Amino acid sequence: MEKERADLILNMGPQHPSTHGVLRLVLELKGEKIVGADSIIGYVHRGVEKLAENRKYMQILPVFDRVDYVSANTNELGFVLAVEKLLGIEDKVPRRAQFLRVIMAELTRISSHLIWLGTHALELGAMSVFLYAFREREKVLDLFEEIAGGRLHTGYMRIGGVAADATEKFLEELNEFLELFPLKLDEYEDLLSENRIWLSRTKGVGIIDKETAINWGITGPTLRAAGCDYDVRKYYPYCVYGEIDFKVPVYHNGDVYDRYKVRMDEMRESVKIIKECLSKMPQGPVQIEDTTVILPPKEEVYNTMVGLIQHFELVIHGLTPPKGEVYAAVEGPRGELGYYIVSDGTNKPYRLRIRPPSLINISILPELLKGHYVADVISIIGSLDPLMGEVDR
Amino acid sequence: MNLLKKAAFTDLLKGMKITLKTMFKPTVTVHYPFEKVPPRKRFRGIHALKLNPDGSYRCEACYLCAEMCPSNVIDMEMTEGENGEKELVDFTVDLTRCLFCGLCVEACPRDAIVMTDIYEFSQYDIKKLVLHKEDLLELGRYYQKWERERER
Ligand code: SF4
Ligand code: SF4
Repeated sequence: MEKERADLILNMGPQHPSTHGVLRLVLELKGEKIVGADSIIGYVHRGVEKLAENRKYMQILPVFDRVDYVSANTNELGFVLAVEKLLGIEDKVPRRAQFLRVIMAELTRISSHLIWLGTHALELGAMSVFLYAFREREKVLDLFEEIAGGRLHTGYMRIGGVAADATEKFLEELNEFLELFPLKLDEYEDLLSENRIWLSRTKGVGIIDKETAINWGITGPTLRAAGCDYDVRKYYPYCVYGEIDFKVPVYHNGDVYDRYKVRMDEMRESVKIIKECLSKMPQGPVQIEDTTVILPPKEEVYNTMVGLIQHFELVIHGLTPPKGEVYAAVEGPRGELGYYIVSDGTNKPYRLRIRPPSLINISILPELLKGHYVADVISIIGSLDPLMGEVDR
Repeated sequence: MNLLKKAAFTDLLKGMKITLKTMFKPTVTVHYPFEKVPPRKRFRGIHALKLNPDGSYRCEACYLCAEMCPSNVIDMEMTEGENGEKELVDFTVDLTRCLFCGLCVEACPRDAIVMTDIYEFSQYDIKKLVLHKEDLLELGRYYQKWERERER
């Protein structure tokens, strides 16, 4: 087939405000129609995988906070699960820690989807949704600050548990938030779901059908909007997702509107998951009792010789998993976030590879954009929710 | 959407109602440099070195924090003191590369290095962002006062 000739080549980005970071698109236009597109990435490449190879397992965590900088907890969780699998201690992690991990992961999903909702609506012209979404996100960040000490880069997960137990205030504020948030979600939906401008900008735009989505390896809300119910939480349950009753929202049109619907429903499901976790969460320790994996409690370090020696050992030598290769994945807000670690039996990973959902999801862009108008580009990019920090790593 | 609904603008009015309602609610914006939200208890601000009650250094120059730090920002210098013990000469924390992850605090076996609640430390001169022993001890005095107040 002969390629249609372009009249104009338009460079969009990398500083375009609605490319969610530094994505650069080269669009070939015929009038207002796109006949060809090319995406250029790599502007925020920081070499995270290489950085990880030069650090001890414990030191890698804060680096992975910065891979996908709006959903730090799920990033950490994936890595922590991979290392635990390598060490063979997945089952020994205390149950309270598992529940806390799930709570944090779901809060992260909410905060990430809220950013997406706010910015996506802003790009399509709905200013107030942006302000409302960020108002609620602030509450989630306050919760993170209360439990972990950091707002964006929480640093809460640890190999073999979590950094600290939940405070009373955290649980109190979390309950308050869970009561309030579904009402706010209704508000957003009232503003957008039936709005004629929103509908005409999103319905029937950027359709990805089920087969294409599977062939391109797309995961997350984008895949579920196309009618496939793949969700790592259901198919390969980790932590305590296996015991929790939740639905995976699936829609069938695969357009921008359905991706919006999937994310809204996911936030509602997240609220339910957190509520169930809170009701089932047992009391008890939040860290594994194995000082070759996690630092001993501070009282032991300050007061006993054994504790002090173990503490020194672990800080200086780090933890040393056996030789082997593992892959562990979590359902991040953007899709399947996987970690593949090759260990050579030393205290640093020999090779570490991240499967970034954003990169794989936006790889379909050049195909998807063909035949659309320039104005739809923004709506399509936004609906795939790429995060450039994760795309380039 | 049927035609009648479309002509009556119900979809837009529904949105307008929410905007109108929100307009009369109290504002949630914090006007930052004039108003500040106090950081939470576990907040990780810039570092400080604590002192013992008798005024001696708590830090024993054991290098654990430097060993633990993922971006190698801590460095220290020490010498042999009068009674043969290690004594700290200088202790530097390079805030320009610090991740504020708190691993150094976790690694310290003497509760010497801590993180304060200070988050406003921008400087015009990059050299001022490298904290030395004196700055850290000064911050430590601030931290210990704050800690005592917090516990009361
Ligand atoms: S907070 Fe993290 S990066 Fe900063 S000095 Fe401590 S260990 Fe290093
Ligand atoms: S770990 Fe604590 S005692 Fe050791 S050098 Fe660092 S601050 Fe000093």
